[in-house]
Amino acid sequence: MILPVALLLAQVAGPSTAGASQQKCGTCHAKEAEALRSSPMAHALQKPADSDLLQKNPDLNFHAGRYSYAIRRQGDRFLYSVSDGTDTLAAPIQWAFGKGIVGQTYLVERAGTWYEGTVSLYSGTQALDLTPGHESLPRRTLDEAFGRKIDSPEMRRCIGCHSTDAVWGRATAPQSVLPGVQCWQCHKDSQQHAAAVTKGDVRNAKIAKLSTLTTEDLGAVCSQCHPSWAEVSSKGPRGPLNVRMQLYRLTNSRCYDSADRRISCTACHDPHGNLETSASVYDSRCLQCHGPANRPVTANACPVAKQDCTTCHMPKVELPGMHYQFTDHQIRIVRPGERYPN
Amino acid sequence: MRLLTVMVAVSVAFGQVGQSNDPEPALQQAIQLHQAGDFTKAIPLYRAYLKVRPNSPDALTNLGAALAHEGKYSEAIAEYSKALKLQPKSPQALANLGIAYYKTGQISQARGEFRLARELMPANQQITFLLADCELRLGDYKAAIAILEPLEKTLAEDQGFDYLFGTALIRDQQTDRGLTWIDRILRRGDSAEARLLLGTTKLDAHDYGAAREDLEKAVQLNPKLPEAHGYLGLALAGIGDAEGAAKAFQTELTLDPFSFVANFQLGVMASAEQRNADARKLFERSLALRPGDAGARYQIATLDLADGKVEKARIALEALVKESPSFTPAHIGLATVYFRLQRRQDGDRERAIVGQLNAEAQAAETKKK
Repeated sequence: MILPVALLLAQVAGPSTAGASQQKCGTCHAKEAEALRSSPMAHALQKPADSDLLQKNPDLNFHAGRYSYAIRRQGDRFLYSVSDGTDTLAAPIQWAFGKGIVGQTYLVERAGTWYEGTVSLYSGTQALDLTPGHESLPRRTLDEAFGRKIDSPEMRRCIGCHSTDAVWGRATAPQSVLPGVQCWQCHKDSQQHAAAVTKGDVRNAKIAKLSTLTTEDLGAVCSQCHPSWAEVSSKGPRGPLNVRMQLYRLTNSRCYDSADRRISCTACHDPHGNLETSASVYDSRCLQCHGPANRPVTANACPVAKQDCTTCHMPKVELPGMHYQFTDHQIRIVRPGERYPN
Repeated sequence: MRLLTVMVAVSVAFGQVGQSNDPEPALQQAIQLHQAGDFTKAIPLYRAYLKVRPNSPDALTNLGAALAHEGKYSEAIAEYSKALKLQPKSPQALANLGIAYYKTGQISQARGEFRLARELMPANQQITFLLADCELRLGDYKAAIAILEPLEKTLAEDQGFDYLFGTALIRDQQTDRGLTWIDRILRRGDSAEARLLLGTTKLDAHDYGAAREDLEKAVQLNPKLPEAHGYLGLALAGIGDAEGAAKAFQTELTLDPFSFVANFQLGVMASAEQRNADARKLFERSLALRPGDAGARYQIATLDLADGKVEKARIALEALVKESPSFTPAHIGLATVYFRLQRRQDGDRERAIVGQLNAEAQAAETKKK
């Protein structure tokens, strides 16, 4: 998934332990660990060599005004470059943000400075286009055209969500980064839990069970990375741009109930697995409340259709330049011609 | 900065005023040493005198002044307080106690002492300036204006007055009036103080790029100018240079550990990076510097919420929205709290308020454009 404000990362100082750590959790939680291995969250950050999207597109070009952009494979690496016809700036891509469901944004380092690439690769078109948020940025010089400079606080925020265990010292670069979301990003005490289990220390092996949390408390866990209602209400964005803030949209739904787990994030999405894109898969979730057997007084049955509920009640919204239709998580009866709510 | 010179002068002056005519040699010697600036030797002599005459308010005040000169403000505060118990209307002890509080960042307490001292010495310009400066630091700009306004005609050529009054007007959003005072300062030549005022004016207008230029010039002209680095940090944050902003706030804190702006903004940064323990310390310090500050109380409540202290957060946020019904972030926090407490109706009510406040803010913004 491409974030509107770019994302990036520095080099890993030590060897990645992601595989080993998943393996450790997988000793007891095999199903979850296996599912997580291929999930989008586990690949929220990738080295270019691990990016299927880049591997499939080894020679990319794009023009914006007087600048020509290119991403080309050169042996094991991918070179990002921009030229004004006279001069060229180039640097290898260090990190790819996102698994590539919507697309990928790239982080490049040039002369000791980190940049979010001006162009991103979109899955919908398998082509480059401007990175979200870059449409309005000035490109008066080749350096400005190259990308947006990223300072360390922004870097910390970006990698805080797209990786696990990013350890930061006083320097602006992370000392170690575990790409993607690993087990203990959400299960905070899992490392202590694993160590205690290994030692047979039953007392310290206790770990919070996220599946027992209320909808609101579980939302607080997800909102570490997916902006909450509170965050979007105070900082925006307003209008269709917030369609990507699923938690915010969901909690604006009339049927949202902080106490009812049937409307929690994990009621529809498996956090360890892949994203289901077929509308029919979600029908059973809707019918948990709107079906004849479980229907409370307020949850009416649909008078129009009996399947593919989300196609009408969670309409798709395409954001300009993103070449992807996002599902609006504000569940509602959509009236013809209505304005995008909230 | 001029104000600092004033404070030191006040401290010495009141030390002298507070001298006793006690004939005993120890006290006389202490006073002589005090006047000669040898506070280290004066202190034990004052103490020796006070062992025999513990109820001498003048000797206690002088001892406090000597201790303050040595940087021992906590001990000075204790001696001034003893003097004031014996002589509650001693203007010297009140003023010196105010200065000791001011120097230790206890601005709210300092304000209280200066108010009492000013009632007893309404014509004392130094006390007036210090009291106005306390009001500024505590964010009560209208109170600072009310204190300074009557002196507008008599002190119009005083640079310290121009700066204080101009600052109060600009912070109170009386920009046009404030600019005339900046003009007065600029007529005397470019100065760090004038640049700071210009910069803060532009900050208020959200012109962060232009504010940065003035504030960078201010710190170039006087790298130790109080508040300049803090406001430069705000300008840098406004243009998206978070790293530069953090450095500026740190510099401000090094120069002035009691800077509200630097403590508070570094707290906001720590909170955004989920360094909650660091953030809490900074907000608690901010709250100590400006007791009752709504922003600091709100930030602490959000940290409580993040740390699972939902009930504590509820109490704080309910108090905040009661005091400031249009404080949107507090309503946002309260809506979240109610949902966490499974109080859906209350949560929905708060969300509706947020929606209304946001719509009003948007309408006002559109009208402004």
